[in-house]
Amino acid sequence: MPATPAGLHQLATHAEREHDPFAGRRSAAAEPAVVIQAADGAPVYLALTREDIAATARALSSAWKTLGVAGGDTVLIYDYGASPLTLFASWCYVPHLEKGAADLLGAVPICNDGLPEFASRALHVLRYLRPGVTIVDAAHMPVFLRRVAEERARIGEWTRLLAVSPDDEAAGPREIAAWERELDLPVRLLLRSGPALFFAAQCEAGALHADPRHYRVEVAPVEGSEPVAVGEGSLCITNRFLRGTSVERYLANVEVAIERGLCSCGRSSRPFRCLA
Amino acid sequence: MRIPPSAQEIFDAGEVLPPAEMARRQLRGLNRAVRFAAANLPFYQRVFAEAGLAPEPVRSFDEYARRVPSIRKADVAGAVRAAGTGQIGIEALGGRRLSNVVMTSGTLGFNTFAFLTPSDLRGGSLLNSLRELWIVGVRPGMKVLTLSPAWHALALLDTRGLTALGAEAVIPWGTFAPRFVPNFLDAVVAHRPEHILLTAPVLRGMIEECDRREADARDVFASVRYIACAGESLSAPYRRHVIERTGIDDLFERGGSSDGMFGGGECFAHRGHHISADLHYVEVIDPVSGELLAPGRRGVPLVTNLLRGRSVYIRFNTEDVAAIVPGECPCGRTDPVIELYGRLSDSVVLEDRIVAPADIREALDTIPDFMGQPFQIEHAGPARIRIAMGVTRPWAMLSRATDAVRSALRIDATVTISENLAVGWKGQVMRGG
Ligand SMILES: [Zn+2]
Repeated sequence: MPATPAGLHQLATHAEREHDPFAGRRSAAAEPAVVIQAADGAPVYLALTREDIAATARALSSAWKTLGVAGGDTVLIYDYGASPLTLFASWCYVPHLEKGAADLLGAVPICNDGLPEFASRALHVLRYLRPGVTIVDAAHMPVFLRRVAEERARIGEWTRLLAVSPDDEAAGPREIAAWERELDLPVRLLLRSGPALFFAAQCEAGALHADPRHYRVEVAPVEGSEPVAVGEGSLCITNRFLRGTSVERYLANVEVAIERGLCSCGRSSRPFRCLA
Repeated sequence: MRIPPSAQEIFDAGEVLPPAEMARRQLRGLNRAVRFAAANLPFYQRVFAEAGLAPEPVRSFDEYARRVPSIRKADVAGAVRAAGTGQIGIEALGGRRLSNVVMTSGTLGFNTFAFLTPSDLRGGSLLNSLRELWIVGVRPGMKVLTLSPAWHALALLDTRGLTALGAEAVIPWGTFAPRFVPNFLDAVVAHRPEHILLTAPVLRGMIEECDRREADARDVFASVRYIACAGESLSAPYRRHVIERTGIDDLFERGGSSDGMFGGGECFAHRGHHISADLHYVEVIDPVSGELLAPGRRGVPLVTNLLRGRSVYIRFNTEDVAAIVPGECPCGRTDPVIELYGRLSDSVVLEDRIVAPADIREALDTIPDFMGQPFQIEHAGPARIRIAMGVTRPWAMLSRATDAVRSALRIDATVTISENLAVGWKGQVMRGG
């Protein structure tokens, strides 16, 4: 029987009630090498085997590739070191990983850590390292934009793409267009969900893609309904590669529309977009 | 790298070389480092040319100190500014693939960058990390609670070290800032780690958080055998206090400099930081005259990395206060022990001595109400200092603190309250803020 969709709130409630930081999702058979917290402020953890860690890095690199990260690029990550956005980027960011997303693509990562106070340090890195792609956690965008304005920085001269990464939440096309105008720089989404170790990136045609080898994406049209493959509703994620933690039909706090047809970019996965 | 049996105190033979052999290897390493820099690294070519450094090898550490010019953080930052790029000609990558870039601590308000290759991260820097984790009690298979603030070199080295040791890592969300302290404490309760790697202000915050929750710290830390703290020196009273409060077996200090890219841990004797002599050469010089100081005398440490495949620092002045601790260490290691006392800019340099933050901390931590509380040392006369505290305490208590500082340091001192100490994001006092 397929699992009933559950979101972070339900997982957190379960974790607290049962005194189980893995919220009932840990596989007893698998020996974890690393245990990470799923999200800021949530008492929910994921147990990861060595294979899980390597596979998560492959999933992240697939998203980076969709964003156009290539060999020789420097990639700046403005997020906490404990965020999946950072952890799986490098073989030196999480124990027991031999190839991070950057290593798989021949890129070089630099992490800025995630405090709002570090927005000007992100600009400092942009100024002096000229990263090809800059990834910023969406929660940091207001402070990042403020610093850019205060320093009158023309970051379009320092990086060719800004990837904004909302964690388990949506960012609509209007918001992205506003960021593009303000920064005079192409902006794309790198949608993620920590509790599902999920990454989906916006392609050059503007659609979000999640690698079907790594994830099954569905939508739950209304609360409590059975998820379906196509249509509008809450994003529902099944992670296909994790062994230490079972992620089946995780209900992300993101409203999306999954399209029936293929994307003009030529990728084989069904395109989807965030609903504002 | 071969991992020794868990019960063994020493990680490898490189830590216990006979001193004469260690010195011989270091001199050879220093000459090799200088020769490589002179031939390949534009930043040092410029620095050496300006100092008129002759190409002949040095034959002693004295000669090394006399002839080879030193550099400071401002020189490196200035080069980044002038070049408009983070890569300034100190990167001894030798054509190897670059895998990571990290930032230095930015104590001058300007972060510089260090570049790392897998060859170093699997070689010298990994060995350094393994020795450091080993000395602070991390053992194969241990469950270790850690964070990976991946902008900092130490986080990368810990990650590779924990991988090589086969440790199970527990990584809570956040960074080493006060807002995440409750979350780290929750993680200890939920996951029961045997070892914790963190910073001193966060550890202090976690114990305070136990009090706020009216939880017995001994219950909270029941699974934990060791804690190792980076970032500042810990006083002996504070170490005793933490061990007493939490019931852990030992609390270790880790230290070095992210700017000079070196570091080491304390052994159980807590005399200072064991620095791998085959990987880094550390000398202590007089901050005013530049004269090389004998063990036991305080000055500023200069580091020369004997490693390649990464950014290298040659006679880099970390602008801390330090001394090489004389005598044999009970742990059996023969590598040098360096004690670090805080930043030179946070210290007061008097005619005949340097009063550093660690001296004041040691004295104030004998009084429970002042333990761990932020302060700033100010120059108050030719042989007089004032200690401005960031917390309000009754007058009688201040007078007790004054007595404690006076009797511990045998110096004319006054402890006062200051309303306007600026505290940084880590909870540290910002000088001149
Ligand atoms: Zn020792």
